[in-house]
Amino acid sequence: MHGTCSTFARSTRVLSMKPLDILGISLLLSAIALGAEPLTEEQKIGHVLNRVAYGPSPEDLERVRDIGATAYIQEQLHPERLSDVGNKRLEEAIADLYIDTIPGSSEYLVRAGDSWHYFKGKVEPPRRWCTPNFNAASVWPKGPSGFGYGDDDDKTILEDMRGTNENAGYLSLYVRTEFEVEDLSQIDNLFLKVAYDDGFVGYLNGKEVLRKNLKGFPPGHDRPASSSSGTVERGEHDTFPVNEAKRLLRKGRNVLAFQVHNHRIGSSDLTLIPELVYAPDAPAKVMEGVQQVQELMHLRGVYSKKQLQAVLGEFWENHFCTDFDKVEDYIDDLPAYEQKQSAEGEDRVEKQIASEAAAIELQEYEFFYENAFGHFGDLLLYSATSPSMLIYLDSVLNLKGEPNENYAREILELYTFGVDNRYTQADIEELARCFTGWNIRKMNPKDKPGFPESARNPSTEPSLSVAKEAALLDLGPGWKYFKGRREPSKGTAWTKPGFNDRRWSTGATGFGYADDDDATVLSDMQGRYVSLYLRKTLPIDLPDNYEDVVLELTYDDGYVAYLNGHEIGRSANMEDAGSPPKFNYVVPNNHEIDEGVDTIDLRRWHSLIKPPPALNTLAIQGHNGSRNSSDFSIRPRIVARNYKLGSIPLTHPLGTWTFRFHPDQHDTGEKVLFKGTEHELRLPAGRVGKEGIRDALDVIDAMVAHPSTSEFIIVKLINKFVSDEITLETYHAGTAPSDLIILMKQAIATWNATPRPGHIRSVLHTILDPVNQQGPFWNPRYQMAKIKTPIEFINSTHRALGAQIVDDGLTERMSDMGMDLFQRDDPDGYPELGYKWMDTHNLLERLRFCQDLAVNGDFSAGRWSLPKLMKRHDLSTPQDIIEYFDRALFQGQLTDRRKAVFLDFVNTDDAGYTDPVDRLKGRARQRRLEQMVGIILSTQEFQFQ
Amino acid sequence: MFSRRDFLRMNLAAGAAGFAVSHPFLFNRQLMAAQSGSSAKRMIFIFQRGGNDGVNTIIPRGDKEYNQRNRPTLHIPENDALDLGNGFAQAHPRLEPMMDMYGSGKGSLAMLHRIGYAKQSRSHFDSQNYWEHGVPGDAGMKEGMFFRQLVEPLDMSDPKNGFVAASVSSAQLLALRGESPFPSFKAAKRFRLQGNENLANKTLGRKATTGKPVPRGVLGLYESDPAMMRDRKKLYTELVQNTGQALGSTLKKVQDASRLRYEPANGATYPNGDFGQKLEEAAMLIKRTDVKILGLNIGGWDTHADQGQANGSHGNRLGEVAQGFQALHLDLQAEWDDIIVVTMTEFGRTSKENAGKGTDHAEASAMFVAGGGVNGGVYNCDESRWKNGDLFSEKKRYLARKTDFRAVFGEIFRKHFGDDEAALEKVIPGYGEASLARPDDFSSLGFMA
Repeated sequence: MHGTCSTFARSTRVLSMKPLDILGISLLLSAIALGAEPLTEEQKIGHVLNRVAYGPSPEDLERVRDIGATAYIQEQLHPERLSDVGNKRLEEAIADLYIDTIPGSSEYLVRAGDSWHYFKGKVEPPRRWCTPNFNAASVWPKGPSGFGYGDDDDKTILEDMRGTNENAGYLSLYVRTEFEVEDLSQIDNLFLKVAYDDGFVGYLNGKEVLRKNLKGFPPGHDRPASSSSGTVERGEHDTFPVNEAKRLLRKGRNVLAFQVHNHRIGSSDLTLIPELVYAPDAPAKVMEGVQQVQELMHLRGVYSKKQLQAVLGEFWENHFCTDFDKVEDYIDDLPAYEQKQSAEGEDRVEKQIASEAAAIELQEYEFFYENAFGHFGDLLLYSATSPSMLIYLDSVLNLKGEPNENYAREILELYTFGVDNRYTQADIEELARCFTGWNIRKMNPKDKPGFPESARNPSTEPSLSVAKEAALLDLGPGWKYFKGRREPSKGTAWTKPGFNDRRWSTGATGFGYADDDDATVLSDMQGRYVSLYLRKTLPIDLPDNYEDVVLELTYDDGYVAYLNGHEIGRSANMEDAGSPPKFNYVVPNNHEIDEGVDTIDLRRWHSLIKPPPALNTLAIQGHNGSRNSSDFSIRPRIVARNYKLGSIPLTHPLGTWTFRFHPDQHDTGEKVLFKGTEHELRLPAGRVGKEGIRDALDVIDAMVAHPSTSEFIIVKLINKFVSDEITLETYHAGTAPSDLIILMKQAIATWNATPRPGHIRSVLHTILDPVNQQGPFWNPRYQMAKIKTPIEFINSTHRALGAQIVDDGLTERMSDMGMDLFQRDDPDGYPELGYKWMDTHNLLERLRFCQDLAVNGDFSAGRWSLPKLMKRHDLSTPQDIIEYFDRALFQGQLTDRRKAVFLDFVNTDDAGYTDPVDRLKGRARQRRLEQMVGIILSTQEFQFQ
Repeated sequence: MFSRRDFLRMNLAAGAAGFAVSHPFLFNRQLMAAQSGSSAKRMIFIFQRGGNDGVNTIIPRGDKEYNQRNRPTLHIPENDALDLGNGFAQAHPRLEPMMDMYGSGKGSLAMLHRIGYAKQSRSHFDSQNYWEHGVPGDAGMKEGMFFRQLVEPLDMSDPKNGFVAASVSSAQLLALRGESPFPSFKAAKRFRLQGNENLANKTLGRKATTGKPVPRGVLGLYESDPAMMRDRKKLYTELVQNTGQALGSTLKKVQDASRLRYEPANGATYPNGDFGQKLEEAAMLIKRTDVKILGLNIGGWDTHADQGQANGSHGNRLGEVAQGFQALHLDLQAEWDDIIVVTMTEFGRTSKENAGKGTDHAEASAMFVAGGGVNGGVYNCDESRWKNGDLFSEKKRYLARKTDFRAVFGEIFRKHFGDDEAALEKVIPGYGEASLARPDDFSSLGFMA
C-alpha cells in the first residue's frame, strides 16, 4: 500500500506548479474528491501499454520500463522515428499476404496435360538429367502432367511412391519436357504456375529457376521436403514470376525440368503440375480477398513497434466504416463484369472481383494508417472520395434531381458532427445535392494522381475514353453473306480461309432489317430464319502507333466472331449456344443496339493474324432473339484507338478504382447549409462543369472547422483512450465527470490552435498528456476501467504470450466474436466502447480463444511456446508463471484469491480431483501448465484495459 | 469496509456516468419480492435492422399516390399483391406464406401499419435505441424495454431466473440489455467450452459443490473479490462479473436443451439461412426451457438502392420473415395460446423511390404481431384511418404515424403479460405522460384479444 503522505506530497507539488491555472485546480479538486491514489510507476507502464498499445508484450514492456512512460508515448506519437525494418516476423508475414498474379492475358509455353518424361527417385538420376543435352526419350517413360498420387488431381498416377509392406516406396520424382520458342522478343514476362505438394526445384535448360520447401544443391533423391506447408489445394496453383530466367531461354528447343519431393514416404499425397507462361504485363502483387486486409491489421497490432499508429489506423478505419461485401457486390453487378464473367468464366472473374474489392479496402486502410496522426480534414476528404465509401453509402447513385441522402446523413451523423448535433433534415437534403455526381471509375495506376489532387481535382472521364481513333475496316461493301435457313457448312468450315463462298451473296455492312440502319436489308428474314453468316477476306495490320486494335460489334441480338477459323469472341447471351451454334439457334436474351457495343481485342489474337501482304478471314454469325423479332442488326468494324491519360478498360485487373466527378449528374442549383446559424454556408448556383465539385469540397472543409466536428471526434478519442464516461449529451449537459469535460475543452482548444484545424497528433498529445501526467488519462479512476473490444482482446492476448499469428486464423476468431473487420453492414463502425461487447456469447468466445491459444490446441488461435517463455524469464514453478503474468499484465495486483484459483486449477486433474502438477512430468506437466496460462488469461481482470 | 470517500465516489460514478452501470438494482429487488412472476406467457421479437419499407409491406392500394409515378421500379401491381380483405390494403406478394394464419379470428396475425413515434429520428442508431429502450428522444437510457418487463416481476438474484430471456445473436440485443446480463449466443450448438465434458466442467469451475473455500475455474475468476475492493468500484466490474456468472449458469441450460436433435412439429419448415436457423433455435428453447422472451435480428432492410420489386432484395427479406412466421405458427401450435411473435423496425422509408431504385429513411412503418391472443386483421390501413394522399402526410415526403410503438407494446404488455398501469409505467417510463400528451397516438388498436 502507498501511504497517504506520498499522495499528499505529490498533490501539493502539482498545486504549486499550476497555482493559477483554473483548469488545473478543478482537475486536481476532482481527483481529490474521487479519493484516488495516483498510479504507481508500474501501473502507469501497464496503463500506457493497455491504451496506447494493444496491451503489454514482453518486448514493449521492457522498452517502457527502460525509457519511461513519457518517452514511450512521445515516440509512439512520432512513429516516423520508429522502424520495423528488420522485424522479420512482421516483414515475412506481411509479404505472405500478397500473391503474384498475371494481370492480363497470357500464352502458354508448357501447359497442364502436356507430355513429360519422368524418372522415379529410387536412386539418383543421371547427372545431366535436367539439361537440353540429356536424351530422356530413349530411357524415361512418358506421361501427361500432373504427376503424383492421392488427391485425384494427377494424370500420371504413381501409386508406388506411397510404399507398401512389400514395396519400399520412394520420396522423389524427376520430370522433364521440351518446348519450342519461335520468337524470344515476344516474351516480355515469364511465369511458372505450379501446383505442388510438398517441395520442388524447377530447372530451365539445366539451371535452377525456382524452389519451394526443399533444401540441398542439388537435393539428393532421398531428401525429404523441408515442409509440407504451402501445399496447394486441389485445383489451385501458385504463380511465380521468373523473369530472371528469361535469359536462359533460347530460340528453338528448350527443356523445363522439375524434381518434386514428398516430406515423407507414406504421405497421403504428392502433386506436381508445372506450367510455363509468358505475358505482356508485369506481375502484379495482390491480396486475394478481405482476409488478408484483416490479417494486416492484426499483424501490425500484434508485431509492430508502432503500436499507437496501429491502434489509430484501426480507429480511423472503423470510424470511416465501409464494407468489403458491398464493394464486391457492386463490382459484380456492373454489366461489364457480368459480360466478362460469361466470357472468361465465373470463378476467374469472381476471384478478380474479390481481389479488387480487397485492394479498395486496403488502399483506404493504408491511407488512414499512414495519416493516422495527420489532419482530420484529410481523413474526411479521403474517406468521402474513397471508392469504398462512394459505393458503401450510395454516393454513386446520388444523381441530379434524384438525390440519395444516405451519405449526406451519415457524414454528418457518424463521421463529423455526431447525431443531431447542430444540423437538421434540411441540411441533409441540401448536402445530398452537394454530393450529386460523385462517382467512381477505374484508372491506370501509373496515371493516378496522389491525394489530395485525386480528391480536389478528380477525373471527369469514364474509365476508358478514346483520344484518337482510326477505322481499319469501316462499314462498307465487300462482304459475303449466307442466310441461315440451314447450316452453311459442316462444323466451322465456313469460318476458315480456304472455304469456297462463291455461292454466297455479296453485300455491304451493316446487315439487318426494320430499324432503317442497315445497308443490306434482309427483308425476308422476319418470320423465316434467325441467323445470318458473314465472311470477309482482308489484310489486317496491327499499327504500332495505336494502343488498341479492336473488332467492334454493334448487334441485335447475338453473334459469334471467328478469325481464320478460330473463335475470337461471342456475345454474352450466346454463352450457352454451343460451338458452333446451330443455324436455328434463338438467342435467349435480347440485346438492342443501343445497349452497348462489344469490342474484341485483336492484339490478343496476334498469333492468328497474318501480317500484310497475306490476307485474313473474318467470319461472323449473327442470331436473332426470336423468329418474329421486330428487328435484327449486325455491324462489324475494326478500329485502332489511342486513349486519354489514365484510361484502362473498366474490367482490367490492373486498374485501380478511384474517384470520378460526373458534372452532368451534378445539381448546379444553390445550396444553403446550416441555415440561420453562425456557420451558415451558401453555395452559389451555376457551378457548372468541373466547378461543381467545389460544392461538397466547401462543405467538407467547413465541417472540419465546425465546433460539432471537434466535439464529436474528441469525445470518440477520449472514449478510446481515456474513459467511456463521457458522451456528447453528458458533455453538453455538463453531467460528465468534470475532469473529462475540462479535457474536452482543452482538446477542442488544441483542435483549433493549429492554422489548419484538426491536427490529430496535437490533439492526442493533449489527451494523453505524456509530460505533466496530470490529465484524466492518468487518473486512476479510469485505469483498467474500459472493457476490451474483440480486436483489443485478441491482440492483447497474443502480445501477452509473445505468440505467433498463424495464417488468417485470427480473422476467423474475430468473426466468431462478431467483429469482421472491413465488413460491417451498418455504417456506424463497431462499438469502440468495450462494454457493448460484454455478453455471454462474446465472453464465451474469449474464453475459448484463451484456452485454444494457451494449449496450442487450434492453429487458428495461433502458436506460442511456454518452455521458451519460462526459459527466457527464468520461471520454473506454477507460482513463478503466475507471478510473471501478474506482474506483466496486472502490475502485481492480482489477489491471493485469484491466484488460488489458478493454483487449484493447475493441481487438479481433468475430472476435478486433486492431482498436484509437480507429480507430472514432460508433456503432461507442460499441458497442465499451459492450461493454467489459459485460465490466467481468462480472469475477469484481463477483460479490462 | 466503506469509507465515506468510497461512498461519495460511488455516487459520483453513478450520477455522472450517463450509462450508469450501477443503477438502482437493490431497489428493484425489494419491489420484486411483492410480486409473483410466474406466468406462462412468452414472446419472440424480431428486429428488422435498417428500417423496413412499410409501404411495400402492407400496401395502401386505396391511396392513389401509391403508383408507378412515385415508385417506378418498386410499385407492385394490384394483381400481384395479396388481398387483405378490407378493400384498401394489400400485402406484398412474398408475404404469402404467412397468409395461412391471417384471418379475423383470435389466435392469428395482425398487420399494423403507420407505427412510429413523435419527432421521429431518421438515424438508424438513435431510432433503434429509442425502440429498444422504449423512450424516444432519450439517448441516455441504457436499459432495454424488455429487460425491464422481465426484471420488474422477477428476482434476478435467483440464478434460476438467469435464463428467462436470451438473444439468439452474437451480440445482446439492446432491448434485453441491463444490469444483470441475459445470455446471448449465435447458435446453441456452439454455446459450450471446448474439450470433453470433464475438462469443460473443470474450466468452468464447479461452484460450491466441493465444499472447498476456494471457488474454482472461470466461475471463481468472475466472482467479486473483497480484496480487490479498489477495482470493484471501477466501471463495468459488476457487468463483467455478472456476465461471467450468467455464462456459467446458462451454459448447462442451453447445452441440455440442445443435446437432443430438434425436430420441428407439424412439418414446420424454417427458411434457409441464418435467420431461419435462429428462429428454429428460438422455438426449441421455447419448448425445452422456461425462457420467456427471446430476441433476434434480421438485417438487410436499409434499401437505399436496388430495393427490388416482388423478387428483389426487399421481397426476399419479406419472404424470409413470412416463412419464419409460418414455421413458428406450425411448430408452436401446442404452445400458441401463450405465444406472441412481434416484429419491430426503426423507421419506414420514403414514399417516393430515389434514383438508385431504392428508398431513404422516413417515418412510420409496419409491424406484424401473431399469437394465441391476437385478433387478426390489418390495422391503420383502411379508409377510416388513411386518407388519399396520406403517403405524403408528413413533411410532404413521408407517411405519418397513426400509432406510437409504445402503445403497441403497451397493449402487448397489458394483455399478454398482464401488466397493470403501474407496472407499465416502470417498463415504459413516461408512458402515462406521453399518452396524455398525444391521446391519438396512444389509443389502443385492439389487436390483442
